[in-house]
Amino acid sequence: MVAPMNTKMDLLQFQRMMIEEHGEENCEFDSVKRIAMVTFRRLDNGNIAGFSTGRTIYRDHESERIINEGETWFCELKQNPKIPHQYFAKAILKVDAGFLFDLKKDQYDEIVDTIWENHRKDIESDLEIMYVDTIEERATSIADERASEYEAILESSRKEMGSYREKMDELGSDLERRTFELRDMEANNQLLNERIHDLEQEIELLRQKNTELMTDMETNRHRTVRVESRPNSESIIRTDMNTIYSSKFTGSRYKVRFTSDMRRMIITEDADGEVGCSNNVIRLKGLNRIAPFDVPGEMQSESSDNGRIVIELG
Amino acid sequence: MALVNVNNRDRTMVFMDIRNVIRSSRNECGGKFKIDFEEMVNLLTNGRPLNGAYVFDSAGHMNNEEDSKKFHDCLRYNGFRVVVCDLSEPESRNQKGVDVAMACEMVRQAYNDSYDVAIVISGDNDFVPAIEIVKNIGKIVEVASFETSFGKHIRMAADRTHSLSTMPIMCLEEFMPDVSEEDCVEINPFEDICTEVQ
Repeated sequence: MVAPMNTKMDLLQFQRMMIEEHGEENCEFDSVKRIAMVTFRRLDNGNIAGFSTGRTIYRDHESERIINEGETWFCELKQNPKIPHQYFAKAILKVDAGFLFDLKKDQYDEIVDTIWENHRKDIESDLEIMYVDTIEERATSIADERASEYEAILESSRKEMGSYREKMDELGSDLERRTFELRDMEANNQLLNERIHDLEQEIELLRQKNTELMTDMETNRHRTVRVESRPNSESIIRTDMNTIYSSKFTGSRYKVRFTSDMRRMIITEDADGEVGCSNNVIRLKGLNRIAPFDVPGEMQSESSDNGRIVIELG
Repeated sequence: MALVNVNNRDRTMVFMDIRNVIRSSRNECGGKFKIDFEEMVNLLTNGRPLNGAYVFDSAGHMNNEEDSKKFHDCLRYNGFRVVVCDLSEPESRNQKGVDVAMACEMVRQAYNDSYDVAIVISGDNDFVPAIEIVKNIGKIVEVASFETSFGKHIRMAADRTHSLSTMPIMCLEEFMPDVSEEDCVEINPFEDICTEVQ
């Protein structure tokens, strides 16, 4: 019969079951029967011993392994021949965390359940205190941690907010400055626009004046041209201070000479002449000094057969 | 009114006292003018054959000798026979040596029968004796000068007179193109024949 995994039994029962299942009937069982799990503690008299099923178990000094106070061992027990309820324990296997860590989970759980069921009253209050302490400690630690984290976050947020506030202040003052500048620019623009308007009006007036002058000039020119023409002369028009025009000026260069009394000017077409002619116009720099200019008009002139044009200067 | 008729076949020869002409033009014109000597000679000869045009001047006529030389070279380039006399008294304004040279040349050429008509361009009365000799040789003498400088005696001595004041021989200085020294000597006769009329 194989005991189900979740059946509780003590060690002896377990041993008996193993014998029944596997048929162990030799002296090996005796040795198995003598194995117990013992926790050793210090007695009032100073000795270190353990108890198991009413037996007082002392440490066997011949044991290869040393058993210390507070430790739990699987031991092989040897009865004291002189005192029947006393046994001596030879250490086989220490039951500690390493042992526990080697256990399977269900074995571990079974051990814990057994300890809880058998020793609940003893350990419950201690465990409760430890648990509460531990929880409190853990909670405090977590709380402190979180608090410091939040504090750090808060501090960094404060700093960030501080820097944003500064930035905002800067932007505010910048905005204010730009606003003033813009207002100044608007004012200047206004002045410029007014100035432009004034100049445009001035330009318009000047244009009108120019048109009137051009009209007058044209009228005068036509008036001057409508002069009774001489039989052998063609019109020589003086258009400005140093310019004369005539349809007869068809060459490219002319020679210009004056009489010393400055009463006559003779113009002769000459390829080596010192004066140029373009579009029937001759420019005579300095003419105004000889014959001051008043208004555009026809000049008295005569043409000779040899191509000379004699112009009277007065 | 001249009694002597103009013959278009008469050979002419020009004798110019250039300093007298330039000085006279200053007195006539008020401004910067130059004299077109070539035009002057053309107008005076008026199509008659020209056997020579003499210009008489002194060496120190212009501001310095170099300018004088350029001036004379310009004239020579345009066909004038320039006779330059050194003044015995350079600071003197009287060009007696020049006048004598011109008078002698007039007479010499007349005796050589180099011309039929002598055209004297000067209003200086000092030339009257030479004119008389030339006329005695049988030549015709014409005199040309500006009105303000025309001497009474030379006007009377001449067979015919010409007024340079009514001749279109002046040109404004502005009209003349800018030329270099070299150009002036070789090409443009007018640039250096510059008399600033005060």
